[in-house]
Amino acid sequence: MEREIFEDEHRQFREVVREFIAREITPYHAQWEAEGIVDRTVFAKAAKHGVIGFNVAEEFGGGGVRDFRFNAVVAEELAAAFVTGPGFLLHNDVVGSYLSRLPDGEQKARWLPGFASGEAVWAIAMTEPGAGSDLQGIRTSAVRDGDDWLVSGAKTFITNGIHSDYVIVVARTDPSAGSRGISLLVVERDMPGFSRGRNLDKIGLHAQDTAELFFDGVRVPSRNVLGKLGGGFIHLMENLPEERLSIAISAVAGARAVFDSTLEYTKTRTAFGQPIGGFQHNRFLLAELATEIDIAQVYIDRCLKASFEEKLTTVDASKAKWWASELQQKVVDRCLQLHGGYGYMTEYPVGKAFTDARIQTIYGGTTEIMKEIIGRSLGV
Amino acid sequence: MLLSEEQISLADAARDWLARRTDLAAARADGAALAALYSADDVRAAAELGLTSLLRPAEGGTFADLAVVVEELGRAGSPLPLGQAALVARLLDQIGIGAAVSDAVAEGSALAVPAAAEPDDAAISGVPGADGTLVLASRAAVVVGGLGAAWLLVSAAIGDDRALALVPAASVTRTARTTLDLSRDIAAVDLHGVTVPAGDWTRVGADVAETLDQALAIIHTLDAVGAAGRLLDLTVGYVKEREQFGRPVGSFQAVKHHAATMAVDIEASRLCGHDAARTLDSGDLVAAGTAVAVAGSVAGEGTSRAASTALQLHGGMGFTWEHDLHLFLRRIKVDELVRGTPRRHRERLVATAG
Repeated sequence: MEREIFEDEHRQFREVVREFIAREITPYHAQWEAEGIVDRTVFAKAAKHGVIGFNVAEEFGGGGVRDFRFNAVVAEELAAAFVTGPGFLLHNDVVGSYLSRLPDGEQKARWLPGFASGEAVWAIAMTEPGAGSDLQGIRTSAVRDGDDWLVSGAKTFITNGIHSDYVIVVARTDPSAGSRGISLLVVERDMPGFSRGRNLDKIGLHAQDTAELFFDGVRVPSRNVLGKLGGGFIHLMENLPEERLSIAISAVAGARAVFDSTLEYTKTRTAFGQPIGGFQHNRFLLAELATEIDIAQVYIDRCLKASFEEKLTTVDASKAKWWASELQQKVVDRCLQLHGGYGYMTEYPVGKAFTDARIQTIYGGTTEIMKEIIGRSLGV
Repeated sequence: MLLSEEQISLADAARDWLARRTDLAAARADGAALAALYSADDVRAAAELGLTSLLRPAEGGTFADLAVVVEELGRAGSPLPLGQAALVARLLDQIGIGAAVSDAVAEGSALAVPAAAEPDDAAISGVPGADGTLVLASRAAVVVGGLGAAWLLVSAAIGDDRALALVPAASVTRTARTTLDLSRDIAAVDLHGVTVPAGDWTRVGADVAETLDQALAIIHTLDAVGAAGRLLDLTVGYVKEREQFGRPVGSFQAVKHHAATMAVDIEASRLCGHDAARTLDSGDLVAAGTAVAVAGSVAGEGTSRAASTALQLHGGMGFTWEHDLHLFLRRIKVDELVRGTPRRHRERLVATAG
């Protein structure tokens, strides 16, 4: 179905992104997967071509465009090319969203030029070993010491965890204030007491660096508090809808990419004298998947529209996130089945997608948490 | 209800032994180490327990017993292709070739595994040559245990006839396959131009070839059942321990239902798998064909579904390489797809239903 959400400028941007991925990412992706991490210069290269950093104001070296459709184009093109390595979406969409709303003037001048140029890689550290979606359970603490804060604790599963030069750390600044006692503090690479654990080995997304981070009395100046002191929880809640939408967008695009490659396979692979796509069961299955992908796309595009109109609700984003990521699992699983014996050979995109895509229903809030949010909004 | 006292003892013995012997860390190591997943000593010890001689006619073992052992191999995530080896020992005894190899397998001084074409692929063909030799052609795309085995029992077609041929593994080109499964060695075996001397092969009835195919399907079904059972144990343990929002996540109804659905899927798969093994023991290959197809379609999807739920319930932990979960998830997916996909099994059911 023709999509109505994009204008000419987005379509032109898509060409740029596609060309960039083909030239600067795809040729190196297998090597990055083997090494467990991307070459960090890809961030600066991407920024140079406007693939990231477009959402930062022009006075700080960005493109001055705050329109999530551009973010969507990047997410879709990465998924379409089966690129899972560079943490562009985390850096550009998630952190970009925080940095567009929260810094004061001095912080903007200090942080945005490096962020926009891709010279500085950013991460956000929410999850702890004992606190996933239960953000109230966060134990990492920040204790006031003069004009500074002393940050102590541990974070895990942090995307861009190895490459990041700046980490937005979610920490408890007032242990007695519950959700109003949580703040965001920006920890910088060289601050004493800040260390990184291993680059975590995952069952998929092998080129993406995901790490544990440790904070042992890290002295963070007050000028590195991002947003309101004690307002961290609200800032997280404000930004989670776009983060979830970003996952949903890549889920639908990823589902479509696997579907497209499988469709081609079913047209060329023959059994019993005919292409396997011609068997009625397979034809119906493909028809069903094509239908569901289109329907999901329409809903996602509607959320995307709400996003750039700044009307996206947390409930609608939750619906998008769980539905699209579960659909992706279904599409990948059925498409793997259509490949028969070749599906579990990891040299086929679908075999790789089986492990790469599996995290989508988990990170950014599990399907179960999404349903909690939606369910509560229904008053039950 | 399902198993006899003896079978329960056999399962317990196999489980204890495998728990001590199986090093899942090796499976997580680099792919290059695949051939070194187990040692000659592991094979000898398995043989001492009687696991490789289980099916020999002289031992009186049954496919139902083999099913018990294979389920435990899956539960342990063991790299040892013991089900395949026991099957080869039985077939060699039955068809009267390779007595020394059969003995070696039973003693654990060597491993032998079947090499047969996947159900969707063309059969491996053989052409009788001069001096009673058999010249093979084509390849076996997926031979589980093919890298570590010393011998391959090749299931070949001579026109409309069937034959089994014993081939030293070192004499053929074996290529390690990069599959989702990291816990077992899986090889592609090129049999083009391999000449099997007289005495190392024989024509067999269609029933023997069919038994081999059905037994291999059963092995993968029960392997997946065992692996899924392990995932259920891991998952139930995890959701009881993991606390979020001030309580164990297992106390949330949605999580309980997920775990219950896993248990139902696995138990249904298990019943179908053991039923297929018992039916094969009865010697009625038509009934067994149906039971194997039912098991393959029910368990193939049921165990994969359970594995996916196990990962979901482990949250981010389930996506980490260090956790054992993905080793079982991968193994189950491969079990689902080799020796007949669920689609293939359903087609067979349709064909038998007429």
